[in-house]
Amino acid sequence: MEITFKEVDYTYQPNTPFEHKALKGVSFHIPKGSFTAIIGHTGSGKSTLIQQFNGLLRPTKGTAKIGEFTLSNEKNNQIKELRKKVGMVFQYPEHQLFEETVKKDILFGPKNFGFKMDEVEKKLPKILEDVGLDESLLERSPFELSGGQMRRTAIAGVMLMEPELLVLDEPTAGLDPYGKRQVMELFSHLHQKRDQTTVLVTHDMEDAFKYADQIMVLEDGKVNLIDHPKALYTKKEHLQKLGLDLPEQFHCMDYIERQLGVTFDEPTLSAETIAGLLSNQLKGGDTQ
Amino acid sequence: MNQSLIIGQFVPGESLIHRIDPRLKLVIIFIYVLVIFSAETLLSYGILFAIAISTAVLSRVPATFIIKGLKPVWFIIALTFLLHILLTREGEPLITVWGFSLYDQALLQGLNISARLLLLILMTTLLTLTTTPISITDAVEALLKPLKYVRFPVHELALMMSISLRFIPTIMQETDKIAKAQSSRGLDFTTGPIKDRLKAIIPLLIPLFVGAFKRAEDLALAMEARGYQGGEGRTKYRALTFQPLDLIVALVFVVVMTLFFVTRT
Repeated sequence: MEITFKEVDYTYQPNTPFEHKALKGVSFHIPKGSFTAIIGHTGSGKSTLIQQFNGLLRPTKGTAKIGEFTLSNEKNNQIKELRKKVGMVFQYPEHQLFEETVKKDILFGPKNFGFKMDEVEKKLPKILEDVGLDESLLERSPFELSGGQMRRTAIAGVMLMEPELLVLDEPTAGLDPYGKRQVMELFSHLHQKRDQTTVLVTHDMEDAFKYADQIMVLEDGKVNLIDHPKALYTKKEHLQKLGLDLPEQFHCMDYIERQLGVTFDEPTLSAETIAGLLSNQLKGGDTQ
Repeated sequence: MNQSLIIGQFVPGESLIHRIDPRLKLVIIFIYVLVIFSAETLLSYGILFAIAISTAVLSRVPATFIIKGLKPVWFIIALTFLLHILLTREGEPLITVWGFSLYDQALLQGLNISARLLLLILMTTLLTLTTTPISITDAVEALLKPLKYVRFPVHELALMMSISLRFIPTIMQETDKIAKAQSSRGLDFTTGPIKDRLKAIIPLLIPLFVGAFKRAEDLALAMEARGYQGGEGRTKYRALTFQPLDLIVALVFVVVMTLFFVTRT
């Protein structure tokens, strides 16, 4: 699904002493089929922004186009149709579990949106395999599961609806490094396999660099930067000024460049690639 | 979040009203609320309204915010007034329309009750608008202290109060978050028949309860880990002190109340 924002403002509790402008004239474009990472500090407006994607919040001013749906200040009665096509994985999605069994919880979304249940159930084993949940857990209570399993259950519920747009709000928060990598690999794999647009909100620059093909930096309710992930390296001074943490490898490359006077053409996260490039340059006598 | 009702909200500020000792505020409000029900003459109502309005002005909370925030309350006041007019059958009939007559006593009583209701809500709302929940709890604890001698668990009560007040915003936020998560899964709270809408509350309530119990456990553990023990020998981080300002406020209030009792009947 293509997303186009035009001059979108969002204000919390307008006309009260608690008025707070979270988005200020936000305009951007996310092409269909892309994987976009949204980066920004706490309070930069990331969560407010993604809640516009399925109509949980409506722009106070301006228009947001999500696929064929247009959202503005006026009430839109196609919200349910929109939500059917937009999958949301919130921070700590395990907090939304409530059913008696894992299976019922996974099927809650599809049932609400009126999917054909026999077809959905046929797809269930495949999804379970994708997210790494054992079928024996289906009849258990979701509250008996471990934290990681709960999260997989919640993710399975979203994936089962085969959304055209998948919005991930820090889906790996609170997971251990292994779980983190697994979950991110899963989303990356699903993104490539299916005809879907993915938006990832993250604090982790490494993930943003590794998985996204477009990066958007939000700062103080405005789009500060929207670019190719490689720009993370070329604009590292700018990003550091914003107080955003760059991947460790970038600091390392930066240090090598300054100390040895070599230049890297492409940023990379792999230690081997850095070492390879370095040895090539040094052997080739490129140093000054 | 419910943005239309402001009862119980706190608006930060540095105004005179904000700075009054919460114990004094509580005592004043308590007396004021009792006294409202003894007002009968126009002049005595005038004094009560003057107190309420000057408090509102001195608190520096925007008037539009207060008026808008009491919107749901206006409806209750109007309804009370209407019921009194329609149901009271005392005194002389004033006008008769289609066989229905409006009695003077009915009008009087309606006005009486509506004015009282309005004053009651206005003053108590002003209290919470200008006092943090924590200060109110501290004040309650201080004022109830004498009950300790009859073995009433004053500190525990105050602790329970402050914990529940502390977690209201947290639970509101959590409700908002869960409601959004479930709406994204196609749950509909706002349309459809009542039966479906009631059913839609279950996916909201269960995660909320699970979260609340978990949080209570965590809190108990954290308190125990820090060796918390209530009551005896505990000092306060924010000690309440009676300032010269409070003395002036108290004196003014006493004078106004004397005036009120003179004009009451």
